[in-house]
Amino acid sequence: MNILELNGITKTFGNLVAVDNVDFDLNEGEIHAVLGENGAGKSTLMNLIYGLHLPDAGEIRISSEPTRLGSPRDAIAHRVGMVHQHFLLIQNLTVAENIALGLRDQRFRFRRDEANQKTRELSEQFGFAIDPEAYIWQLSVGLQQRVEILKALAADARILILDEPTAVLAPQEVDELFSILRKLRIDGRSIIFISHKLKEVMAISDRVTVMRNGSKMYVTNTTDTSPQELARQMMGDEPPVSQDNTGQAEEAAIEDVALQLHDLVIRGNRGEMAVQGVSLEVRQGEIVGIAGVDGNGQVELAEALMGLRKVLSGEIRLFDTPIANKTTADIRGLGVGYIPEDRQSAGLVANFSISENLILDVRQLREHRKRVLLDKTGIGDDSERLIRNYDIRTPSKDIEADTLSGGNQQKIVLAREISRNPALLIAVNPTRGLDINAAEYVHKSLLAQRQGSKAVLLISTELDEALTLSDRVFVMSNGKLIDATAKRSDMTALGLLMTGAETHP
Amino acid sequence: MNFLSKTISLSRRQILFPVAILFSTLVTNGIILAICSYNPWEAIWVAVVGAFGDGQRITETMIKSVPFLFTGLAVAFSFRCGIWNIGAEGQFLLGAIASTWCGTQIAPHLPPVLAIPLTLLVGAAAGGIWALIAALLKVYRGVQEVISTIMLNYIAIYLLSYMVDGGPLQEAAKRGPQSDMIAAASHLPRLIPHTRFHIGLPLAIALAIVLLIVLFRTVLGYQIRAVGSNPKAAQAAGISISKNVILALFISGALAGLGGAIELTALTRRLFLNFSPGYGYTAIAVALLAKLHPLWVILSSLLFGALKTGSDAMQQMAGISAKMTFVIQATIIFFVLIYGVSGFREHRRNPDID
Repeated sequence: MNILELNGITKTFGNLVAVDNVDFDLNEGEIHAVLGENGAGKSTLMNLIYGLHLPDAGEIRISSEPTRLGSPRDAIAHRVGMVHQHFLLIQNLTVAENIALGLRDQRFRFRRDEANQKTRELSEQFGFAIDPEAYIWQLSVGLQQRVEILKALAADARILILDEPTAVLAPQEVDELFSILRKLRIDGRSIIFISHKLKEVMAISDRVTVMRNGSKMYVTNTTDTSPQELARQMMGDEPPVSQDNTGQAEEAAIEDVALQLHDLVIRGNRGEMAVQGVSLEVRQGEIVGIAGVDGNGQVELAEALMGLRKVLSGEIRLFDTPIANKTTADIRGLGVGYIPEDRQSAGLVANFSISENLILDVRQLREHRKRVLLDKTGIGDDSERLIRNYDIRTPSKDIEADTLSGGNQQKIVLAREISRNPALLIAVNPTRGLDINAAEYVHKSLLAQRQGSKAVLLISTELDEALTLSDRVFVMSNGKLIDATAKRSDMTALGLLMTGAETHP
Repeated sequence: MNFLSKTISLSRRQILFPVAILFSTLVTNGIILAICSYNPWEAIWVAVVGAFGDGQRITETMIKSVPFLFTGLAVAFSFRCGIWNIGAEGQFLLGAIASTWCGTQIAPHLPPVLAIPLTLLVGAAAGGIWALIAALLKVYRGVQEVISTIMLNYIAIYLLSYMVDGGPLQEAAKRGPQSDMIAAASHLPRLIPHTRFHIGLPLAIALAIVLLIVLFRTVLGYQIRAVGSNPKAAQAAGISISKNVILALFISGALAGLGGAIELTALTRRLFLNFSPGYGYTAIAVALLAKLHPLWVILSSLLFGALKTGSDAMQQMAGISAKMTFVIQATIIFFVLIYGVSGFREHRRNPDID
């Protein structure tokens, strides 16, 4: 019997159709995996079920009843629980206190013994092995996740949404999570399991739904499918057409090595090993692409290359100069340009004018100074020139960058980073959030760099982008790089690499 | 100079902001006065006359605004770098303590051309070093500057009371908790005869213009504003956050310290207990009301100076407690917050689509 049913659900944000006429159903006592690339619409779909968004069209039925879920409170009342990827726990409260926070009958007076008792019972029932009186900050990430699951169970959830629950877990913790999920299934609870990882989907789920570009592509019993088939459904059949002329690639091979990485190890924000022994060469006159699903160490790698994150061990050489753990100013001084992942937060100062943003680089600052003063005339002239050359659509160079569209903001970053002809350009998701024309413009700029015998390292979660622009393509998965150049036209094989189903090329 | 016209040109919002705050403050305080069974019309009239009634009162208002101006500039400068320096009070006091020392110990042996600049310099340096403690704690130990600067205020306050009450700076006669007069050679000149109007105000206004240039025309100011507006982007550009935090806090502390030195050498000419009735705290309101713009700080500190003389007049002529000043100041801060202090910080929301 279907405990949850979505019929023809559509949700748009501005011009973007995040979820497009999707049907979905969840049986009682099943683990249903939802699979898809970044931006496929998985999270939006789950947010609709959890009441964080209302659908523009379509119907949600819970136990066959049409239901309006206007807020998480509605969802909880209908016994829907969600474990977010980033935990919503209060670090300096105990496990039982965190759980009691979500319960209605604990609103006014906190009955500690009762809360401890209830937590202990639930924990024992499903084999959680959690001490109700432990503080959250004392717990490992894996145990914190269990507290999140307990929170949902304490609110008596019968539908449990887990948003990429394994992304934060070590392999052994994944096994433990799976045994908990199996116990919940026996108890008759229904679980939606969101993931990029094919191996896990194959291991734990009863059914799989595959999403691509906001649409449901495929639904099947897990036993009736294979990782290859799922990868094919996830990525599509057609490899994108390469934009470059292939003659160029061979010519590039004889050029000098611009960037050389040897056995790099870098920690992420939570102290985990985000990059685990990466080696790579980028030559002048080539674009090297690194594809991969978000959160596999790409951003950490780029930040370490720019001196924004510490390198734990390994070597980075720029034209034979070691640059690991040098300052960003030094690295930029050696001729490295950087298009950061998020232009809003790292590429621009929102309340600076366009011309101020065009000199947001220590080298440009050095060149545009007259003793201690900024050379206003020089900056003004250069800004006018860059606005013209890079086709930044703005009424004036003096208005705040904030007022421009995303595409024009990205052109400011491009103009600043590329106009100086950097020997190496590191671009991270340079077209994220841009419309087709703006994206095209960015692509042309990257190709022009290559044409001018400069080295480009393109890190992108958009596989198409990495494939069409790059001379050589790597896939980054779980902090490791895999050379995928030979497989660039085999979407299924790439899908398997990106989802970590296959770790050896 | 087109940058000047750019940086001081007024949008309608910028004009409405202080007008709305003044109006709301008047109405609210009128009601409060009425509740306390004073005649609000009389009280407000007395305050206005007290602050601006004649030349004497206007100069007094201007004199009262000088410490607000220095500490206000100090706070505005550090806030521009994203540093919440709540410690202008302590830095102001340290400036005063150090100049007292210089004015009583060193200045007597020097001619005025040396004694005055030296005494001011020592005061500014002391304020800067006091702020530097918080800067170094922040950069090297990750200590929140809000906490450390507040704590340093208490240390400064009690250091001052020790200094003048049994400590090395207490007057030779040991009659009360105050220092000796500083040497005449270190007295800042008064400009208008028969008033206390001194060179502090023109000096502070000149300083505000210098700060305007520093913030908007120099490489240093550019870096400080970049760090203050978006530290992540500044870092990615290769701008050192630590270096700019240290510099900005030092400059901020030095401004407040200079304020203390000037108040001392121009006006009181001796150090005493309760030397500052909280100038450094009020400075936060001064800076926020001015939207952290150096030139607007001039006007907003004049307003707070007028508030001070006005409330003194209310007390003398209408018998209203001077404590009302604090009520009025607090309501101003409330309305500054309500009308959107946050306007200078950019807020954005990206719909998180995945």
